[in-house]
Amino acid sequence: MTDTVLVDAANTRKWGRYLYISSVVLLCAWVLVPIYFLMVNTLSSPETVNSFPKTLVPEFDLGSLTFFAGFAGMLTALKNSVLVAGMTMVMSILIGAPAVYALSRFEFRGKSTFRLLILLTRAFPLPLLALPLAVMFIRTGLDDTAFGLALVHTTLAVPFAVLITFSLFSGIPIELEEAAWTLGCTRLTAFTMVVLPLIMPGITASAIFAFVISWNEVFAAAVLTIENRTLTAFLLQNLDTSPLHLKFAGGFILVVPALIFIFAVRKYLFAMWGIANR
Amino acid sequence: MAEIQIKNVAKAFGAYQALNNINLTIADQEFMVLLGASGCGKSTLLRIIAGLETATSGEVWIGGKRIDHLSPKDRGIAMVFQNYAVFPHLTVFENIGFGLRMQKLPNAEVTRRVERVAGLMHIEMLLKRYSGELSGGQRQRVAVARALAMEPDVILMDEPLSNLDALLRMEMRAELKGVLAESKTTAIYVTHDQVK
Repeated sequence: MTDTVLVDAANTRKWGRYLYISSVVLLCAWVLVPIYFLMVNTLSSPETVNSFPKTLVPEFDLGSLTFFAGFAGMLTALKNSVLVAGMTMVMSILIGAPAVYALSRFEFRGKSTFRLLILLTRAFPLPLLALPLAVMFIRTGLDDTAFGLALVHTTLAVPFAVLITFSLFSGIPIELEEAAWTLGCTRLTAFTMVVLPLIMPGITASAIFAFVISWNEVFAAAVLTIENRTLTAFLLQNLDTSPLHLKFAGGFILVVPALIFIFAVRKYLFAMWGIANR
Repeated sequence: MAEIQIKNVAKAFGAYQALNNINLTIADQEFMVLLGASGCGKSTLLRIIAGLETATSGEVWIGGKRIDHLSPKDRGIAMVFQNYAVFPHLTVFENIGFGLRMQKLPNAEVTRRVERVAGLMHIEMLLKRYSGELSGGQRQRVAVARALAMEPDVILMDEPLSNLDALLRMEMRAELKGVLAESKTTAIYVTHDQVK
């Protein structure tokens, strides 16, 4: 009697384990296989890309990539992308960090509403906002400028900056600040001398994350810029009419920096999602 | 000279009256122990003296000067916290010297004072370490040393020994008494432990 129960339990555990492993494999494949194909096709010659059956091994033909390196406008677009992403990074930290400090240190009326509102900025689909934004930008002269686009991207990035830094701020005991105050600090110097060094890694992480958000964003970039296109908007515009192998290469160029950045800050993204495993 | 006078101090958190008309005079260089059950308002009183909390009404005087409207840094006090509050990103040396650096004292003076109090608290060999590499008792010593280095008029201690194990607590208690008597500061010590 007890034996069968034990065997049953062991069986259930074993099947649970199989299910677990196969789900993990499936999810990883879901993400990794397209990226792998992207890489293979980028590093293949045009003939291989268009032929059938497909190979699974890259042949390290750099033709497609070198084409992009010499493509007119590519460098300007790249420069714009970096410029916009850089501005987004700085602005989202300058706006996000003080907001988080207030949220984690002060009790004020409407605090939870405020927190909700920050997240709600993500609830409006960008296509809905794009037209009024474009009109407003043209009126104020912000259209087709890196700064105008960075403003939009900052709006997108701030909720994430707040989410990431909030968990880090809350982890810093208020006593550290109080100790600093009794040791001769004002609120501001206590912040710069004690709090800032402690949350610097988290700030860096959310800065990089803001950079990635801006780097990857294409809709606002395509609508709000004409001459000063960012890399995503530029490639979207041009790849539409390009041959297949160049589409792959263009996609690859866009994916790789974002992947590297995300990989660099993965520890903090886990913290944001409440996964304790570091 | 640092006599502490507390005049008619009251503190309310919303509808809850935490402190009700407290009057207390602590003589210069006295070692005053506030003893009472958890939640009876001892810490709140201490925090009002430190300036981390504002009293709903009443006055606080230190050394003949009214200080309840000043910010913590201008009150001539130093505080030792229950959880030590040793800065994790600084070495023990920089922790102890933190307040002195804020006063912009010359390097030589900072070093002299840090080494003196480190000697008093027997932590000379730990000066290069970070808080993460210290035991609870050592952190406690750093916290006290940091307060002493300021050479304050008044030292406020909020259950400084409650996070230590029993044996260490007894040892530290005896030592603290000696060090404080020697430093000639007025001290207020908050605890719920009868033995202290």
